[in-house]
Amino acid sequence: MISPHGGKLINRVLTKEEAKKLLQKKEQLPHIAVDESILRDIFNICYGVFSPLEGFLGKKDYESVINTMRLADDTPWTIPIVLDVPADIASTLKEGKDVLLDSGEGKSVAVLHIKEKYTYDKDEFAKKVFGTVDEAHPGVAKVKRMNSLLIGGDIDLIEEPELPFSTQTLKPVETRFLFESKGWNDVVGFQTRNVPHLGHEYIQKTALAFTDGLFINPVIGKKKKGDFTDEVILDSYNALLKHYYLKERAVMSILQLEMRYAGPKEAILHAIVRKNFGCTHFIVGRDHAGVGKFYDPFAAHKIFKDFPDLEITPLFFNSFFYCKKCGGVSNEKTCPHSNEFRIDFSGTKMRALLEAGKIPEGELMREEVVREILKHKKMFVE
Amino acid sequence: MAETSKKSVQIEIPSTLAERLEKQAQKAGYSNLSDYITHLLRKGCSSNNNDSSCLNPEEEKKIEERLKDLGYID
Repeated sequence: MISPHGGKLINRVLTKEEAKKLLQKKEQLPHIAVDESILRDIFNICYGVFSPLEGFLGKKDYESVINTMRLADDTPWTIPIVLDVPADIASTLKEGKDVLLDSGEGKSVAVLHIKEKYTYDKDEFAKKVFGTVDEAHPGVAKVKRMNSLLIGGDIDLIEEPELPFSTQTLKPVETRFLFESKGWNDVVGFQTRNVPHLGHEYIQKTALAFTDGLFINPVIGKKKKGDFTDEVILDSYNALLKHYYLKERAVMSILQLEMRYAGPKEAILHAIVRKNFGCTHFIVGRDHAGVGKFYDPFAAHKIFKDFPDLEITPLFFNSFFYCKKCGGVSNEKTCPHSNEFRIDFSGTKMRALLEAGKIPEGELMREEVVREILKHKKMFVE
Repeated sequence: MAETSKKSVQIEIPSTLAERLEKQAQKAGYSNLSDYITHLLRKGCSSNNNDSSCLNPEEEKKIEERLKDLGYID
């Protein structure tokens, strides 16, 4: 089994006794209400999805990540995982003390051991992580909305946050157990935020052909307007798995993570996360984690050259199309035929067809998948 | 991993990482890179004694039951 990133799978979950003892002091401790995105980060830190992170980044790590794409100890890490707090609340918090992190329902889900409070430059954050300060980029817009103060420090989980789709969410310790129990040594991870078309299936099955197992890991969490809803993505994948995959060779579990749309840098984070789940290989497609025209479609392939020490092996795939003459899914490297024989897996075209309640051609999408999608009245994030 | 003598072994690491470690070693006052890496590895070994990825039988059973309940294993 591949080692977790940084060599150790992080587990920062308090025992029942520890949690109870801490909650007895609840009234004396300050509280910060956090949103669902931060709840997801808390989940990911405490259950080792973000290993080796043990909390929200302190200043030294934050600066190292945005400037060198590595933590201060040189471990690859490309996206800052930070906690911003309003100035009036921050002024009541003291370094070296604890603060409780509360969910929307007022439940204390974690305790943060405050190491430091620090300011940061939003434009620098945006420019260095997203490569732009254009607020049309959803990641940049979010940074611009953040508070001006960050708090760094390790966290401990008091109670698992209530997140949607919990029965389809596995923690790294569980996926590692699952892969071992299935006898998988080489496992390929597939990241998605879309419904599956035949091009996706072709990529997955190509990778599966020379590994032991396929781990489909859709990102569930806040997405941008026009993306498929989480329910549609999960139902369509369940249909695909049921009808077109061997149960002993493919599994799906979701990743509770807000998309940052940081393109190449997010591709590295996505690979790290899958390594923590126990994947040895990771599929990186065209314009991975990109948005609009902000990134070169193959920037997410090129960036892996800067990380020879990542340990998980990226598998790079280009664009695919259906070729009527070849009679199957093909790409520029494998198909000698001209455009008149080719049908593109155009996301825009498929969305338009589905939105109109029409069924895309069988060469584009499996009928069982289409039927599942069309059951949903609300297909897209509004 | 090649054996260079009875008391030490040679291990390959990426050159980019070695360059970074060299700078850190100089800053931390180490006379050579090997001593600094040995220090880091010893520190790492002691912290890994508490490796949470090593499950006890009770934890393993709990995970197995959840995976069965959710239909991941039979």
